[in-house]
Amino acid sequence: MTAPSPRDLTIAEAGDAIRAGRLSPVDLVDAFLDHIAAVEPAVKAFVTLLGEDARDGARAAEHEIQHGRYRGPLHGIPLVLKDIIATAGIRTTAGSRILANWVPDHDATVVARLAEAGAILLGKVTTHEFAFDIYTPPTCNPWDLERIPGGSSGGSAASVAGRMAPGAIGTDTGGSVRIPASLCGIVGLKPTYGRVSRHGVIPLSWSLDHVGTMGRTAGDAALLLDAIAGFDPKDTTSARADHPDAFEGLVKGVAGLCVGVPTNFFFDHLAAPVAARVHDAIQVLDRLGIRVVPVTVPKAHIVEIVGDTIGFPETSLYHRRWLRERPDDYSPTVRAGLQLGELCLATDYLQAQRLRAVVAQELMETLSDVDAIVTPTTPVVAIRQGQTSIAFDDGHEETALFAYCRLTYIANVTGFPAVSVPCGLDPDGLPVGLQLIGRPFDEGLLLRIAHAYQQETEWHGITPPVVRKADGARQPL
Amino acid sequence: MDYTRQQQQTLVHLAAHADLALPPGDVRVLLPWFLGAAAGLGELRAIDLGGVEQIEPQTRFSVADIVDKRA
Repeated sequence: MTAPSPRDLTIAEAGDAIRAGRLSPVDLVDAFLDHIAAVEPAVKAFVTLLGEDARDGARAAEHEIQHGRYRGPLHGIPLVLKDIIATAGIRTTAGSRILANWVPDHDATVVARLAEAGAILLGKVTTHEFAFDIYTPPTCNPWDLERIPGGSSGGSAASVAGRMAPGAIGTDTGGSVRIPASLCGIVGLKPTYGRVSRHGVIPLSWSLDHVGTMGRTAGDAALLLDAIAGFDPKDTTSARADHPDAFEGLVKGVAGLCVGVPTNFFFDHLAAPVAARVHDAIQVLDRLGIRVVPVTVPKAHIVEIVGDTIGFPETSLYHRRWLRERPDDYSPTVRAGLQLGELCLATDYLQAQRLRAVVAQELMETLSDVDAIVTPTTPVVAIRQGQTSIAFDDGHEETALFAYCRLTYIANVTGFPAVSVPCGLDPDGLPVGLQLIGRPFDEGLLLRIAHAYQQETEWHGITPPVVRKADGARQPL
Repeated sequence: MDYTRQQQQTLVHLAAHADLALPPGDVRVLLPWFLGAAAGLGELRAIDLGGVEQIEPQTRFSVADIVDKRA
């Protein structure tokens, strides 16, 4: 029997092996670089691959560990960052022509914290232009190269699903961590607003933006969160909330917890396989000893317009000067969105901010009766490249961007935490995601439920076809 | 969908108030977004939340504030 490649280890497994001296960080980085060479031409997730820098970092980590300076579970672990997160001395493009040659002179706080934890930067990965949509060209979905990876953190999700990195950092303004995580079959966590510093992250909409973590397991998402969470004086919206160790908390189990399944909105207009897989997952939660009850989520139907009425003007303000000086350096659809934000009335923006407070208060009421709310992450699996609208079996038709954000946006508008965990494949072999939404600063509990679910299921262990092909089809395709 | 000349001119005039020039090509891209959002905005505007003293707009959004108010 062939020993598994270090490339297939989770962050937690690789971290254990490094700590115990069974795995060299240099060998781990080399395993990923070899695999990237085989898979990246098809998946196209990298903007900047830091091969030699990563090897240097791995050698330095190995030296530190051998000399008794072990930093923790991320020491020697290679990671990738969405290319909207500033990295000192490394080009940060935001997927745009505007910033195509921008080399920051500073690290974002999350980058500094990962470096402090001993993680190794393997590369910068794609985002949709300024994180403004869900397609993330030119990146392809590792489960079907003809389909989108989702976005805007599409490169982050595709690189983790394609086994080109064990974990990634993304950003989420309307679902941009959870949507690609769902479409690519990995775990994506959007923490509570204020939990993770956004200093050094190019904003899309400052009151909706969150930095999130992505990995193949809830445990890995927890390890990454533990490394980057915490107050940061450089971010005026950073929260001074305590952060209990999310990874250590996974072992607490889920018996006696209660989740709510919405009877309104969240199960309308779904692709049939998505509905089926999510209902299967809810049965698994029930078997785990979690009480499952119906709940209603008031005003869920207006969340998308509330979010857009806040998000578009905030985005437009950030881009105001460039939009006038370099309008041709934006793609037509992004430019249109920026123009639209400039045409929003101040009274509408303020009405949306008032409604946002009401939505958050009512969601809090719902979450006073249950520990988490369970929904599909997206109403449909990954669509084909170039497809712009989605027609559902019930006759409902929707623009792709709005359809994908429909179920995730509420966690951005309210700032509440949410996680997507893979819960099955559709008949075409495309991943489906289950979303858990929780109370503010209760990420640990969401990750406990996701972890318990993954202990009972195998979905996160299935390898996408592009990886199997690269491995010489050792597994049946 | 065909858009009327008046709809297009309204959009261009609104943009001009914001010192934003809209080339004809952009108007065609923007109109479906603009009109779609306008439909949603109608619903948003119709919700009566009472006086501003009852629910303040949260211009500096903070989840921590929501948690603190409940505590």
